[in-house]
Order: sequence, then structure tokens, then C-alpha cells
Amino acid sequence: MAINGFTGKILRINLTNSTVSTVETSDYIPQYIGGRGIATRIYWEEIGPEVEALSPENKLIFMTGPLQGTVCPASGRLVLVSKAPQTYPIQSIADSNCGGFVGNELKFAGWDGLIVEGKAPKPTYIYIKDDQVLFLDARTSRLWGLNTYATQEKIWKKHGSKTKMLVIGQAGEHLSPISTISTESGSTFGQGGFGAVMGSKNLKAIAVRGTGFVQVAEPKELLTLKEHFRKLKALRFGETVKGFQGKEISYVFQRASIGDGLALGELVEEGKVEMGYAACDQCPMMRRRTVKFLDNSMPPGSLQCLEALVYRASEQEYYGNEKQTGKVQELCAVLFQQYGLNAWELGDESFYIYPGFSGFLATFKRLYKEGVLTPENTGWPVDKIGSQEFIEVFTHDIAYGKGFGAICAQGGPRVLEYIASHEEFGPKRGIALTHKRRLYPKAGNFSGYGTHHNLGHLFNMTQYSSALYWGIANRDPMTKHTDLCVYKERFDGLGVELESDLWYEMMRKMMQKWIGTTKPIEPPGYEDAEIVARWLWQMNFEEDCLMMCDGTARQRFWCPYTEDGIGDPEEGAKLYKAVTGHNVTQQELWKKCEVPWTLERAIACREGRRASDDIYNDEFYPDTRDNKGRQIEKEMMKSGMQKFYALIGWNSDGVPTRARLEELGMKDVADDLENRGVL
Amino acid sequence: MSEEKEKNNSRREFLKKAAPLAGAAVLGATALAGCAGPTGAVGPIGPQGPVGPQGPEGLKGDQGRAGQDGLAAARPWKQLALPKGVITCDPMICGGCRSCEGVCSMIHEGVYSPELSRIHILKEWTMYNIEVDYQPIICLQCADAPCVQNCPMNAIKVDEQTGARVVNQQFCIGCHVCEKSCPFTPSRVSFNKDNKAFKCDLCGGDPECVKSCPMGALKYVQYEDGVRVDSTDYYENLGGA
Repeated sequence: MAINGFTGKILRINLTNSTVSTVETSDYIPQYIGGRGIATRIYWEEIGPEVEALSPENKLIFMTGPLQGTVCPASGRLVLVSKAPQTYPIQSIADSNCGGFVGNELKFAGWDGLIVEGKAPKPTYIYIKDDQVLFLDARTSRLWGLNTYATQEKIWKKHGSKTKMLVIGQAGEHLSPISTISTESGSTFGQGGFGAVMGSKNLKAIAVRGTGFVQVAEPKELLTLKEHFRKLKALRFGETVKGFQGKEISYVFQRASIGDGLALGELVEEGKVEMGYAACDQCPMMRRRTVKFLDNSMPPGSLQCLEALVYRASEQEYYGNEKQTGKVQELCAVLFQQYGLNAWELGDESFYIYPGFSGFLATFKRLYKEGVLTPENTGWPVDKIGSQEFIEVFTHDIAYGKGFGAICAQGGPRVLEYIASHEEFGPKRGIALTHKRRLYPKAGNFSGYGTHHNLGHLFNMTQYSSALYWGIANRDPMTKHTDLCVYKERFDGLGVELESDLWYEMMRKMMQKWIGTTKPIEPPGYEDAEIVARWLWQMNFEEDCLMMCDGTARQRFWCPYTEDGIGDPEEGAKLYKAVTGHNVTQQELWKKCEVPWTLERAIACREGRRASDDIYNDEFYPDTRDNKGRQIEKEMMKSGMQKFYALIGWNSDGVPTRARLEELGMKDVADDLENRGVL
Repeated sequence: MSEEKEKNNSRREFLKKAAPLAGAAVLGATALAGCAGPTGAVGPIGPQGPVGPQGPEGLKGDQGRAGQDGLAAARPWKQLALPKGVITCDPMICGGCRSCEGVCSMIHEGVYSPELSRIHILKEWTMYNIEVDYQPIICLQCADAPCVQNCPMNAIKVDEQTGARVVNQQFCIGCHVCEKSCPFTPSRVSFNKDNKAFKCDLCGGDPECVKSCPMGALKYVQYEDGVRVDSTDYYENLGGA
């Protein structure tokens, strides 16, 4: 039965015996809202703690939220929840989000989500055309072994250019825990290593084509909201508004992209590169750039965020001023996308400073300088990091699992431990472990993810809250770009300097109204941190359950196009109401998000996670120093975490209490945890 | 050679006509050239049959083609009122977000469905499918409008206010002649699941797709005296073959 904002059916695909069945979405809503909420519930019911990530028993749970299939801003998204091979050393639940068009296409085909289970006997790809599901041979179609771009091109040629799909590259086929699932040219399910899960199921691609639609409760209201939010997100070219403090504003910061000026500006100016805009479905901002070298010296690609920068610093260092800058960096981004490798995990230092840098390529550079890695013991020209030669062999060997690449393909923590424990890396090899503990700061058994934040970052005025927020996560939430900082760039030339009086005034007003406390930004900033951390988590789940885009939804608090500099914080509730007809306030919606959040924690606890896994490695604490010299101490983190647990109804060991679970309507979860001796 | 020249002249004339009114000659030119692009490979069915060199008489407008071979052979073509405006798109800044498709189908059908949209975004895939340019599929409301001329039920009428060629689905019998008459590929007329035709109606003179475009790539260019874009003009723009 179709419900407003949903098609009402979830498609279950069994690859082992090529059968399909359906699951009713109405079993899960409105309690679990949608998206990550529903997927988490299905995970709870179907994937036990004993299941291994790369075994046929693991399932890929793709899910859409109520906003998919509608004209809400940036609605083409899809969330994936599964057991993640990247989590280290114990594989555990993780989620990943992806943009593009495939989320909407799935809704048009009549499905709210996909549960992919089992393992195909031979390389397969799935073609979903509305309610038809075909299991097609990926070997005779010559898809197996192709990169992500070529796979999509082949499927487009076969099934039409309106087909949207999820594909894996060679890295996923070779079961690398740092492989991705891609769609279009630059959108991926990055963190989690889910490309390997798909590869372990012998599944090369899921192609979707839909001709249907989803009913919404208030179509007129939704169109009004679409225009309302478009005006708050980004201006058109040539458009001028009366914005912050009544000033005329015409610039469009929001559309600026790392792919833009930062990476290839010089080459664009010289006319060597042609750049175009590329968007996800219904996106008002368009931050992705397509890149085409007019002399065809490099393959075409698309750039948006970090992947454009991973090789920048190294390339500049290696080539100096030879005007090479930008070319190899673009090639590097394209290679990551084509092989289906996680750019964040392999990242370079780029322009961030050490604790903020992202991946283990930067560590390799350090290890080479420290004499641990040599061309002999790696088989790679590590003396030439920054060159085209190095990045080509580096990505190829990792994607195909060859030589030292086979170890690197296991992800940063594993390769750094390997280096530390093998004699061929010389007497100083132990330093690799120190690097590991700083690069993957989470203590305990559920690490494996880089920081995705930078506690010492200039913008971050509420680092203690961010640390608590980050500490309990199963993956690596983006703490850097939360709404707890007023972006200076967004208010360029409008006097909102970091920590100016105006800045404090705006922050206080916003925090008082929406969070109910301003103490985390008042020096020393250590009080009420848990309240802010809870709010961050509510926001996180709101975005992932309704399925709004982080990039566009984050414009809701700080917006130069309004008189007071605040956009429309009630974006989530307004869109949710227009689509589903449920009348909730923003505060109520955030409260509702505690249901899937608590359930996700229950799953993590069932898989063995406890309070000792929620703090940092000892080596990481000095890196939490912010621009005022404040540092988070180990004891502070521990005591803060206890306060946080108490606030959100978890016991001192970090497990949701029975009272809390029953309050949220999850008695069965409490019973199960008790049976397993977790509670 | 003379044919070649004739073609270029005609196109230039059209652009000249458009330029002062549009206030952005370049924009108009890119938009129209862009629109013609995807038709290149296929010969659309029109009054002259598949794409080929046009005689000078073909360029005179509506009268010249009446009674020629093709679908229109049965009856003479009518003189139609000219549309008062045309939607143009600058493919250079179009990012392919499908906001126009979303809003169009919402306005006309109450749901978001690219299938039911009157405007379409097609990606032009280059080697290794990198989206560089997007081809917006927009109905330009031809002056001679083969879809109107060929409809056996006269179900496509010219709107008095805007001059848009509008389908009255009540009279549509689902014969798809209009779809095949369209000089564009893909056709600017589509059919819904009830087998009724639908096409761009310019939203009564205030196109919603234009209002919703977040980049400002879509423009509604209005002409007081009406726009004269004959279907033959499209033939000429097929990459200057």
C-alpha cells in the first residue's frame, strides 16, 4: 500500500537462488521515519553479531527516506547500512550515504529500498525496471573487471541512458575493505568498504530504471517550499537579494567547490581545461565540477571535494613550479573513482595540518622520509610520491591486490600494523603504530576510520561537544562542518569574523533558541557539552532518516541571504510535513530521531561495543588542541562521556537501558539484549 | 554550395530576428544549437521526409511545404498564430539537476516523475560517460508546428494568449502521429500511461521550469510579435551537415 512519501514496498533480492520478494514499508514507519532508521531496524532483525562482513549472510540494505522521489532539495540520495569490513579490528555496523540520482530512480521504480542478500553463483548484475527484476550475467556482458566509468557506460548503452546504477570497480571485485560503490562519476558510498561486500556477493552492478512516482501529501506546499529553500541555499547567476543586515548580496559562496578554483584554477585560466557544472537530483547548489582536458593529456573526470585534493600537496612538492600542478591531482581523483577506491582513506595531507589530514598516503610519505619504507621493500617508487608514475602503480596495485598493494588494500590500520611487525621495514618501523593511533584515533575494537574532523580546526568552537559526538559513532561523523560554527566565507565581507562580537551574538541567539544552552561557546566551553552533542546526533539522524543532503541541509542555520543571517532551521520538519502529512515541530522530529539512534547503539552493543571503545587513543589527545590552546584531557573525555550517557539514557557501560528502550517503543530490543547478557 | 549558403543565411536571419528581442543573442544561439544536437543521428519524419538539403522554397515558411510527400500530404497546412515566447537554455551553466523536470511534472501532474515532465534533461555522455554538457529537451513551439498540423483529431490547439501549442487530452486518441511528426529527437510530445499526449504548454505564459532553475540557465524569452521558428530551421541546425 502506498503511503505519502513512500511506495510502501521494499524489494528483497536473494542472489543465491535468484529470487525476489517484498517487505512492507508500513511495518517500519512512522516509528523509524525512513532511510537510515528503517535500514537500521532491518539490520537489527536480520544481521546478527556473528555474521562476517564478506560472507553471504551479510546483507546490503539500501534505503530511501520520505523525501526521495519528490522535489525536495537534493533528494536523489540513498543510504546503505550493512556490516562494514572497514571497521577495525571487529567488523561492525556502519552506514554510508550517496548522492546522485539513484535514490529517486528507485522510488520511481516503485521501491522504498533494496535488501540484497546471499551470494550469486557467478558474477552477476541486476537490472530493475519498475517491478521487473532481471539477474544478468556480468561475465558474458563483459562487465566484470571493468572500472566504474566503463561499467556504467556499458549498462547505459544496453539499457538506455536514463538508467541509474550502483557499480563497483576493480577494488570491490578484489574485496578491498577500502573499496566503494559508485554512481555517476563522482558520487560514492565511500566509508565502510561496502564495495567489498558487493564484490563478495559476486554483484557487479545494480541498475535501476523507474517510470512511476510517489504521492505526496501537499504538492502545492512542497513546491512553495522548494522555491523557499532554493532562495536560501544559493543564488542564481546575476541574482541579487537584500540579505544579511539589509545589505545587497549577489555572490554565491555555496556553489563554490574545491573542484573549482583551488584545484585547477590555473589550468582553467590558461584555457587548458574545460569545466562544467554537475548536480545531483534536484540540487539547488551544484558543487560538483566536470573536468575535461582539451588536449586529452588526462582522462576526463569530476571533482567535488576531497578527492580533488588528496594528491595536491605531494604533486606540488614533487613537480615544483613546472606548471604540472593540477594535472596529476586530477588523474589521481579519476583513478580513485574508476577503481572504486576510498579517496578519504587513501588521502594525502592536502592543505590540512596533522591531526586533520585524512589518509595513509600522507603517512607513507612520512614513513619514507623516516626510512621505514623504501622502493625495495614496497616494490613501488616511494621516493617519487607526488609523481604520476607513483600514483598510477599505487592505485593499480591496491585495486588489484598485487604485491604490497594487497596489504594496503586492507586499509590504513592493517597496513600500518603490518609495517610495524615485519622486519624488512627496518629498525624504526615501530613508528608506524604511533602514526596509526593518531590517524585512526578511536581506542578499542571499533576503529578503522580517519577523523573526518579536526578538533584543532579553526572553525570549531565547541570541540568538546564534537569529541563526545564523534566518540560514540560507529563510523566517522563529519564534525568539522556542523552548524556549530558560523562560516566566515559564507558571510564574506559582512563583518562576521570568527569570534567577533557579532559572531558571538549570532551564535548565542541560535544556540539559545535551538539547543537551549550557550555554555559550550563561552570560555572555557566545557559545560553542557553533552546537550550539544545530543543535538548534533539528532541532526545527524534527522538528515539520514529523512534523507536530506549534508551539503545542502547544512545551509539551514547560517545563510547570508536573510536579514538575521539564519536560514530556515525548520527545513526538516517542514519538508517532512509537506511530503508525509505528519504534523511535527522541528523539536519533536529531532526527538523522534532518538529511536533509530538508540537502536543503532543497541546493535553496536550487541556486536561488542562498550564505553571503552568510545574514547581516543592516548596519542591523539595532544592533537585535540584548538586555536586557543585548549586541549581535551583523557579524564575529561571519560567523565564527559558518562554525563552524555546519563543524558541519553545509556548505562555507564554505554548500553541503552531497558527503561530507555521501552520508552522509545523497543521492548523487543531490550529483551534481546538481556538474553544475550548485554544488558 | 548554394544550398549551403542558403542555409547559413537563413539561420543567421533567424538569429538576427531573435537578437534584439532576446537581449542575449549568444544565449539564444547556444540554446537552439544545443537543442538540435541530439537529432543529428536520426532523420525525423516531417513534411519533407527525413533530413536532407532544403530547396529555397522550403525556407519560405508554411505555404511552401503544403501538399508535399510525408505525413502532411493529405491536406494543406494551416497558418498558425505565432507563439509569444520561447524557453531557452544555456547548456554551459546547466548542471543537470532536473529541478525543471521535477517542478514541471509537479505542476502538471501533482507528482515528481521525469516521465511525465514536459521538459527533459538528457546527459551527453562523452568517452567514459563524464557529463560535460546537458541537453535540455525543450519544445520550441514551431511556427508551422507539424504536431498541430498532423493531428487527425485537431486535439492540439494554439493557445490564444501565449501561442503555445497545447494538447487537449479529451480529444487525443493516442495515435502518436504528433510524436512522430515532431522534428526533434527525442520527440517533444510524449504519452502518459493512459496513452494520452502531453507537451509543453508554456504554463500559460509563466513557465514554472524557468522560475525553478537554480542556476538561471533556463530563460523565457518573450517576443511581442511572436517567434517564427519553422521546423525547417531545426533541420538546418543539425550540425551544419
